[in-house]
Amino acid sequence: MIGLNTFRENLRDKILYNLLFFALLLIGVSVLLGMLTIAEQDKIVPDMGLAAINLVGVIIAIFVGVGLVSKEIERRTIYTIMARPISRTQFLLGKYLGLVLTLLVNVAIMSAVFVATLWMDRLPIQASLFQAIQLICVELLLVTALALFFSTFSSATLSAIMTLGFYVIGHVTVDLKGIAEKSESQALKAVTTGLYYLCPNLEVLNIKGAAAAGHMVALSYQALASAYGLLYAALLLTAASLVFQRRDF
Amino acid sequence: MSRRFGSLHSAHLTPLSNWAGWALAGALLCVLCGSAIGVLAVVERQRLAIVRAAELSYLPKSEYLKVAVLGYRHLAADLIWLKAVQHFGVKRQTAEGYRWAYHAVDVLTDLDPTFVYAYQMAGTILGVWAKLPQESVAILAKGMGHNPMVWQLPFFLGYDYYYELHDPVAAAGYFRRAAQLPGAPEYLPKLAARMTIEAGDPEAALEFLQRLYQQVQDPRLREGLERRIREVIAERDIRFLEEGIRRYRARYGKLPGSLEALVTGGIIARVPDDPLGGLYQVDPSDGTVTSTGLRERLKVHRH
Repeated sequence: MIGLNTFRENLRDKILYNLLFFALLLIGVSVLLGMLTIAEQDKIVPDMGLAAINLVGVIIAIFVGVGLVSKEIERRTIYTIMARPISRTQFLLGKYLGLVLTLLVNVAIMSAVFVATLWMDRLPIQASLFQAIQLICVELLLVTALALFFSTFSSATLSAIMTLGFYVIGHVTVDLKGIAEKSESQALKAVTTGLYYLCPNLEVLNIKGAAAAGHMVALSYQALASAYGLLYAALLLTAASLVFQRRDF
Repeated sequence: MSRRFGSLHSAHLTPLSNWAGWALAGALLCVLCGSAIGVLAVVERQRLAIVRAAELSYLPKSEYLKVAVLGYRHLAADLIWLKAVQHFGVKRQTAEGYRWAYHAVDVLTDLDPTFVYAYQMAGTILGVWAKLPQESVAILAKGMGHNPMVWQLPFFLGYDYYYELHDPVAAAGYFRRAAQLPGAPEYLPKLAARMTIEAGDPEAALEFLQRLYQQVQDPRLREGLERRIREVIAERDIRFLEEGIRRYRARYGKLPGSLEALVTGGIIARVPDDPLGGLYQVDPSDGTVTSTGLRERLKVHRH
């Protein structure tokens, strides 16, 4: 119920306008590339498409995600919701699922535009692209959970900054591990290794490059990576719910 | 919110002053927009081509860039490539400009090592057109290391070693390698063998160039290869004429005073035209033939 309301609210906020932007961008780029003679269209269009789906999704997840709770508090609508017989956990989960639904609809439409662009350019539509999109969805679930978690105890602006920060960290932890392996100091090694396992590893969910080149990943990898992302998201939601129980308005 | 405030304000204004306000705001927008475009155009003109090429030199090292672009490595590689292509595309690019374009391709292929097209394009332009064989070999060899199954990369490496670096032995190795890869054209193994067994055979070299010519689309590459083809034809003619001089000497016991003497002496039917637009001349003192159009004879064909 709360989920559907959140979804409706997102629609009212004209979130779906970004789709128009996305479609224009993708089609524009592919038309532009068609005019350039020295360009490899069959590499650049899939790269652009996957990156755009990912980037647009992450931006929505972060900037809508951090407002989910704080907006209700700001507008004082949270009192009327809390007065009803639903628990705080249900409220959070509903908010989360609502945004997730928005994101999935978004990704689905963007993917349709993407596939249509490929088809128009007479480029191969490979199964690996859908593998990449599936893992992008898992990444979005994780990022939304991050945004929601931060927004349960801090302001929208601060939550956005922190979520963005963790998004960046999530893509560089592999390099952090590299530093750990090279370092001489045991303490530094322990700290960086600890951070590596603690922070979300979003690079695990990033197979865009291989997918655009048409290389499939093993289904077992896909399943394990998805499981990792979902587990981490569940962890964040549980933590968010715990924090939110203790929150005063 | 803002709409409500807007209507509040306009309620206090008469329709005329409201209209004037809109006109003023519109005029201001036009002026600002126009001057921004104007200044941009002036700034653009101030930047010389060499400065534009040097902007690629500000590309950070790939190990930092890799981290900085988060998960969007392939997109970053594509964007750098679109920039580098423009530098390769400048009709009369400076050697410096080509070097920066090479640097850009080096960085972007670190971001995306499987960008085969970038290796190929950069490798051929640098080798055939820009006369930077070392850079061409470096980028092609890097590409071959990451993409060992693509036959074009060792094929173009072979070209570089044969024609630009005058090393037929190394070229032979690359041609053989290219010939064994899937998708390699059927003529390649035989041709590679001929080119490498008889390293100085202009006929084989000519056939190779003509095959390569059919492979490439870029007009500058085609122009570069056409020049090479004419050079090899000139080399073939010179050999033919020198062989004629040897037979003339065997028959008449002296060197011919001119090439026309070969025709009048019944050795050859006619003196071929120099494809480079010059003239074939014989040195009456030692019987060597030169072309006024050919700056230097292809080193690879010399014995």
